Amino acid sequence: MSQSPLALRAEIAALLPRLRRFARSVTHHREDADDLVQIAVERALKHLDHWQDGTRLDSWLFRIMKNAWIDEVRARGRRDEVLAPEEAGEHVGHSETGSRDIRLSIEKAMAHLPEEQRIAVSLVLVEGLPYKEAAEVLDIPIGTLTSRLARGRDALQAMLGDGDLTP
Amino acid sequence: MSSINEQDRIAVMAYVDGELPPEDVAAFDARLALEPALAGAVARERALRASLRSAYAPVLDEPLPPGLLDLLALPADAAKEAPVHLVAAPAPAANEPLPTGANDAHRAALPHARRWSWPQFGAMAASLVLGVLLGTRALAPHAPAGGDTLALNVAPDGAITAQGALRDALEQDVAGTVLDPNAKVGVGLTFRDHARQFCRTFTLDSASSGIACKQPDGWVVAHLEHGRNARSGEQGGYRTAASPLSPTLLQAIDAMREGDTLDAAGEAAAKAKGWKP
Repeated sequence: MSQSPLALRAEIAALLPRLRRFARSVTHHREDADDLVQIAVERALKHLDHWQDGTRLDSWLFRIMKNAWIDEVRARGRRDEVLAPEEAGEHVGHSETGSRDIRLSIEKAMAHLPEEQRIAVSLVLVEGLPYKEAAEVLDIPIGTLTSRLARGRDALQAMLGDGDLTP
Repeated sequence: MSSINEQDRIAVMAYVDGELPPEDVAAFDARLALEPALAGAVARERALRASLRSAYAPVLDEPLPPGLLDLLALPADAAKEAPVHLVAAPAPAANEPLPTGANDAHRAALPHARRWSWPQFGAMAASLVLGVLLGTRALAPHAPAGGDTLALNVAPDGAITAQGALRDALEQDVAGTVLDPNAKVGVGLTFRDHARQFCRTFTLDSASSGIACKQPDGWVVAHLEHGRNARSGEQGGYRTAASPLSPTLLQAIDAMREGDTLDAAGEAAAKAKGWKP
């Protein structure tokens, strides 16, 4: 170990809440999400030397998570348990009974998105990554990213209705 | 949504996502005032973005699974060789709200710029302490009880605060008084941030550096960079406490500071008042 990993480890530790949030929105399952973060952090620690100067640590970790999700976690995931059949209808619009319902509606709507749209929406709208960073995480051109974002947003708006989304 | 064309739809998304080229923003703002359909589309996209963020925000406040924190601890045998170890520590009792806003831009990479309440955050939540084995003899005056010289505490919400030798150095070192030239913890510049808090640059074990600001609870790390960031581009070598600050650290200082850096007298006066704003 040629240099101290102290600050890098601290930064990874500090990012854990955001990694868990990203995992939750991608896997829409609590245990899958934590499995995913666990695997991604293990991989990151094994390959700390792969992280490049001047690049964002969060983007690097999101990229590892995306790959781990596709390679590994998704295959053995429990995600089928998430949505009961009666919940899998097309319209998951929220009721007026409060922010918790809105939150559940949004999580369900996200779960209905095709995966590539869901990950793009999560990176940009939830995690706030710039387009350039999100495109690099996904290994796609920016045009492809914006197209996925557009389709994902349209689908979410359609599922959630065009009403006032804010609680 | 059908009332705007495809090109405008892309522009609305870019506008809401902060991705519209800066030179186009004023013109877009002007159109928003005149075109209700466009303004409506912006409002819808903003609401969607806000809803998504608030839907997933509670995850940030959940206690971290202990297994995840364990992962970031070095195995016992590695800890003997590497100058860094991690230990689990009881969570701090309480935390005051952080003034946010002024520092948000430069803190974007650190999650603790976000809101600051976590109902689940309690005694059961383990926090992570990253320590540097600094050599207790060199730091004898500063070494906390127990002999371990700890440097950084990472709370379950991601807030990093200075501990042990680093905290002591931030509290006590003022310009011109280098306690021990061999000490790996060093304090550099002092300045006030936009919230009038005192902030100080520091170096850790020659390879890590950062900025910590004095808050009611202690020195909260607002900027942190590790060896490779801290390495000086021109000289190629590792930074030491005595070497110039890295460009990224300087940028962070400029983004944060309100007024000039303090001189020796200013540092002494601030220290005398407990670094209170």
